[in-house]
Amino acid sequence: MSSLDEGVRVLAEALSGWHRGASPGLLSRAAVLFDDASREPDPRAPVGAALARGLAGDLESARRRLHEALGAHPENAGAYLALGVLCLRERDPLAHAQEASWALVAARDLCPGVGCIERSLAQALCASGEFMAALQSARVALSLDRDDHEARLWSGLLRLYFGGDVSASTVLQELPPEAEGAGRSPAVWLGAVAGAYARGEFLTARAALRRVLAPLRPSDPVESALADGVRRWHRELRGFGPDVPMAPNRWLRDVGGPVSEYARTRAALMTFRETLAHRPVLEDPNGAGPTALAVEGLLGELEARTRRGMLAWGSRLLVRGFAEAYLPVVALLEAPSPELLAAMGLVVFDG
Amino acid sequence: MLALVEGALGPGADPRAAEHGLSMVLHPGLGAAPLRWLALAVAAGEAPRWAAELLLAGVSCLGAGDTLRVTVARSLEPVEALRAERQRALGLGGGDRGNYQEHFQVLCRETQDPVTRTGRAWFAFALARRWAGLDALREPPEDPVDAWLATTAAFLVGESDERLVAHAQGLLDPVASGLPRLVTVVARELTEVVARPRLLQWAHLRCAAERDHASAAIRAWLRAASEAEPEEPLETSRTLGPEPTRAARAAAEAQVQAGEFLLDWYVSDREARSTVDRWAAKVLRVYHRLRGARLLARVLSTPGVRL
Repeated sequence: MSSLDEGVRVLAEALSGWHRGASPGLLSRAAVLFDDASREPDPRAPVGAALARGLAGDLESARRRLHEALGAHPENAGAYLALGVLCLRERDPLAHAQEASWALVAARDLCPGVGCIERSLAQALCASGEFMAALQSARVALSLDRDDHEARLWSGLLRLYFGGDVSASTVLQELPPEAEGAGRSPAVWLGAVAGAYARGEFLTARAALRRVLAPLRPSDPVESALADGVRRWHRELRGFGPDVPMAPNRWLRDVGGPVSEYARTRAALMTFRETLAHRPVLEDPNGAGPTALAVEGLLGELEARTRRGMLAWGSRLLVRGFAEAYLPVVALLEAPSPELLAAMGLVVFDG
Repeated sequence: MLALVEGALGPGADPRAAEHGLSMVLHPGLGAAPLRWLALAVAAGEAPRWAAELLLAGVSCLGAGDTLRVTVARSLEPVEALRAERQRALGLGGGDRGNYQEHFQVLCRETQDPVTRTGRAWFAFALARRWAGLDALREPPEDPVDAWLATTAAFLVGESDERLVAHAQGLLDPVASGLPRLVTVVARELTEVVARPRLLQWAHLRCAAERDHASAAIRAWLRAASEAEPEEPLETSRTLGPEPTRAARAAAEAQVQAGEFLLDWYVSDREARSTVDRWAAKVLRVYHRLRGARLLARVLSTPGVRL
């Protein structure tokens, strides 16, 4: 067995026994084996070496090695994918979201039609605030694998808080039991928190939050900080709609209620429309005065622009916040999926 | 100054005299220095107060632009008795260069100052399209010229122009016999102010609709997000500090970077904005003429001072 194959085997063994991280000895051995393999011109070896170091916590070294590997082999999609995946597994994923995004966009362009790349790209784009592109990536991942829980989670979250589609909250609530049954960590319950909150099911949301926080030990400073991050996001979710469901008319309350500038402008426009209906304007010498239809159009424009603005701002706050809280917990509790390792080329070819 | 005002606005007025008169307010070599000396003399009691009042009244009646009016008002800073008039002359402007926001900031610098309360409310409603400004203007101001300004706001929401015109007429009555041309000039400018009320209201509503209403919700969310949790989600967990997530911090920073101008003042509908801005410039011009007329009437009531 070559050093590369041995390295892949050791890395897979390290990841299969993942419990709040892999065994440092196994990751170290995998890194050494990949370093040995790097003497031969196989572009997968530096990727494996960097990934092993990155998973062991040495992101700086991993990034340097991946950039060197990309300099030598710019066509190596595995290196781009490894860079994106490691950036997203950082404690502060938002700080590395831009780097993860461009790396994963490059990986996708080199290897189109790979579900795990699209799914990771959706996460990275959400973290960097590119919500429309993120939604596209999540939908592509779902089109490639309709049972992809992670893609469903991000797609649902974006539909709910970026698209304003309240029906997506059902998906978010139904997803966690299914995903947990398929071996995912309790971190996926954070999606249920987002979904339950939008439906106004606050007790359910709190119960789901408890499930997310349960595996995180308060005595451990790292895990305690992650729990605080989750609770901060939940607090901001509460701020988004304190104890009021995301019903269709909820946003009217959010712009300030009946005495808000929005509501009063709207009321004034409606009064003006009534006035025009009784007394059409004959003041404009060009005959281009306002009509009831024009006022109606302006009312629609006002509502659409305000709703869009609120959704855009809300998603900046909540979807990015979700990425900030969720991704580090997943990185702690879950190893990178074998699918990702395969997409990086870190598999043993036995045929 | 009395001669200049009479020459421009008196019974046998020369139509060009207003412009000539305004060009003579500042000394070609010394600028506003003689005005400051006058103000210092008034403050020291060496010159009568009406001299300073006459200066500001004359400049306002002749229809001085923002720059000249502000220069004269600043020169009169030592005269404490003219503080209220000076504040209004400094703050209520912006029509000449379209820099209403800067003038609004001057008015808002001392938010509790009752002198400029009406001005602030008028700017807030007419130019920043905040309805709270209209509510504030519903309480009639004590100052009659400020009260006239408040009627223009009511006109902007569709009320009749009768009250606006009658009020202006009442303010001009004391000087109408001595300065008939001032009445003519104000009447002509008022005609432009009250022309096409529905189109004006439509333009104002379009501007109001262009505001970033979503930002109000975001501000409310961010405020609510910084409040403490009513109850702990985990009984064993420690108290959470007030710091927000990085995402919330970024959202708040983006709000700050967008700034008040983009969120509250920027109107992309240029036609509507320029319609309202032009109307506001005309209103402010009439306002200062009326203020000048009222001040001049007070000066002319001084024994020994007459046209």
